[in-house]
Amino acid sequence: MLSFLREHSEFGIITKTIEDEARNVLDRAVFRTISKTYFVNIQEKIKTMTMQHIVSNYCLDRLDRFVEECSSRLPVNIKERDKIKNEEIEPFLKELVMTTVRYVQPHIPSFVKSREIREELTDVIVKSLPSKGIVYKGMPADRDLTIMAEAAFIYRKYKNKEKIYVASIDNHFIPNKVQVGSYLSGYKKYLENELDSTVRDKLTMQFGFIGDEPMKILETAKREISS
Amino acid sequence: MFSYVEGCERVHKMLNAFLVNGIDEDHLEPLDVLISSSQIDEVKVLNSYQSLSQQRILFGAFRNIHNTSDEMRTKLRVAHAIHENPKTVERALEMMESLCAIAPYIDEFLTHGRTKESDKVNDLSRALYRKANRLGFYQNLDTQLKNAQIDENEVKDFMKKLTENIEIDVETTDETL
Repeated sequence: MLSFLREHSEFGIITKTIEDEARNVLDRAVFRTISKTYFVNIQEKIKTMTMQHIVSNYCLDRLDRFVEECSSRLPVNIKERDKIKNEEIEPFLKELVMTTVRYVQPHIPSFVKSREIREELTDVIVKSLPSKGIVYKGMPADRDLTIMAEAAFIYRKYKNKEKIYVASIDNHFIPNKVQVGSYLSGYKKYLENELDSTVRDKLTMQFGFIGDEPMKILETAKREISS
Repeated sequence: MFSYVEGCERVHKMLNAFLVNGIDEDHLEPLDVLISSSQIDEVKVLNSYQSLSQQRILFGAFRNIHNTSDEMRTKLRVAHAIHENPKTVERALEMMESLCAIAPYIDEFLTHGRTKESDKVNDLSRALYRKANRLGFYQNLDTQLKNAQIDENEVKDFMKKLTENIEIDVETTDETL
């Protein structure tokens, strides 16, 4: 997708919030990686810390290049954006997530102890369910709400005439894979070829932006350019 | 205890003298001291009682100071050997602005055993790295990995763990199940 945007940078928008968030995600992930590492001795610690430093710098350099090469930066009115976030998007999602589930967990009596039977029963029940409910990963984090508000702000700025896609792999923005679980056996899996786009579609209806995976947006963009 | 503010001032003076009189390999001592001190402090900070996140920031700062000054010494030696016009010295002087900017914060840590403005140190350290890269005072990726004796498999292993943690952070995998 970034290669495509290099050629058509007028289509790409990386706001400061997105750029900062990309840095924060990288920073948190690197920190999580080193904090989970057990250092046998100081030599190992020096090596790991040196590696994280090299990798972080490399990733940040790439990010800087992407921002420069693949995007335009539109001015975002912070006051207006925060108003959309606090008065529209947050209440809308708070209400919505009251009726969503993080994953489908059929009720199986606790006396069914065997792991295999619980897993088999889970599959059978899920298959026979008429509706699996709306799958969504709970209330998005504050940073996600800010990004959504920026997308809505940009959509309105173009007076609703342009399509605004939000490329993300975060489940709060895109159609959710339907996850099935059984608490007692620890069984979990994703249903093949099943995506629940209910929340994404409701967000699109209400605020205009369309969240999807980068590769899917790329396909759409290529199609729209060629047509 | 080595003072980075004073150390940077000495390097600054040394470079100004080089600008007037030409590079003198026998007078690189201020740079040598900066290189060795920052290398020692890299290890010291990892052995300190600071939190891991503070250690990470300060280690990065010391490493950037060390790599920059080390590469500066190499470049000055090459410039001397080829009787180059003062381009390298001028660039080194430009580089010193970033080194001098971070030095007081490093000294604060060394004096008090802590730093109040770790975000500021992080920003200045990144700015130092970027400038050093731009001016050619930072080793390339392969050299850095080679110097640290990190092989390809170790990088791959680290990247695999990092990718997993990025997925957890952006919630593409669900930790709760």
